Amino acid sequence: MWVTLKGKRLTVKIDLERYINTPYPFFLIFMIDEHLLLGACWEGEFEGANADVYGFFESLLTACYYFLQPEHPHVQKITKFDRENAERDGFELRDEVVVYQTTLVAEAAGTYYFCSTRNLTRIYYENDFLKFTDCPEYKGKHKGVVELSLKEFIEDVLKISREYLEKYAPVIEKIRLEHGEESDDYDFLQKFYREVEELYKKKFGSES
Amino acid sequence: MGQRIVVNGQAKQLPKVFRDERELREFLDDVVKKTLENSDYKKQFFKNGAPNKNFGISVDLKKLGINVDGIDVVRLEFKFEKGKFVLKTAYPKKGSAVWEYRYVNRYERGWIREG
Repeated sequence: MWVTLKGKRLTVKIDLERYINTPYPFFLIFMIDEHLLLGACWEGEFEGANADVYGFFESLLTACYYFLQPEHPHVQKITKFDRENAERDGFELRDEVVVYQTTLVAEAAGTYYFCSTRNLTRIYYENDFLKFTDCPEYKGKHKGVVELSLKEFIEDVLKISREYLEKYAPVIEKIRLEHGEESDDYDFLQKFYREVEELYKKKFGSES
Repeated sequence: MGQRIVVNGQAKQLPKVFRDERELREFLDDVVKKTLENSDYKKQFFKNGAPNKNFGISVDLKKLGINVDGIDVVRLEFKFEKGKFVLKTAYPKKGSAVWEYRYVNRYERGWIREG
């Protein structure tokens, strides 16, 4: 059974029925509008990439956390280093002030650079899983960049992360434990979520 | 390690980069050790000082001064458990000897090679 977490522009789908005993046990699809960042398309149907759901959401929240603190020395150092890595990976970055590379904790699925300017989020991606798609609308669309406003991105990440933590984390954790996994630290992720939310309110509070 | 595998009914010879499991293990130990010694990569273990919980990093072997024919980038996935970073898995991501096959099961189409 696929469950869907949906913001204004971000969509995440997770299959709760299939479990593979690896560090990436669940099938997950990640889309922004029609851009398929994680997952594949075969004969007109989407298929998930194997991912660690906790790690996936932690990565999205980390991107927001960094976008909201562009002046922090740690963020600046990460940015400097990841900008070089992005160039090595063949992405032409622009005027971004924060650059954060992540695997999204998905199996060999792709390369992702989450970037931000003052007001924008740009995600440069190469979705390896989509490279050999037979869906005409996705041919040649495995590599690209998607742009949205910074506020929009963070609001969507907060919305879907909250929904994940409230509704699906307990279900996913139960499946993991049944397969003999160690429990994940959800207190940490909750706390981290609230930290990002606080930073968001500080920056955008007066506008919303 | 130069195994033979069967893809879509055909036998394929994978590239040989390591002679045996010991050599592979030594390589991985070296990659992890040098990653931890590298201040840039070490930063990727933390967010402003606090350890990441579940995360992956892509390591450029050139930056670590490791030269292995056919492998350029290795991906490492970690979890922070009971106060320690635990390496969950490691695999080569880029390089001339890195072949990726994906099993496309829905319509029994078999394996597709990537990269």
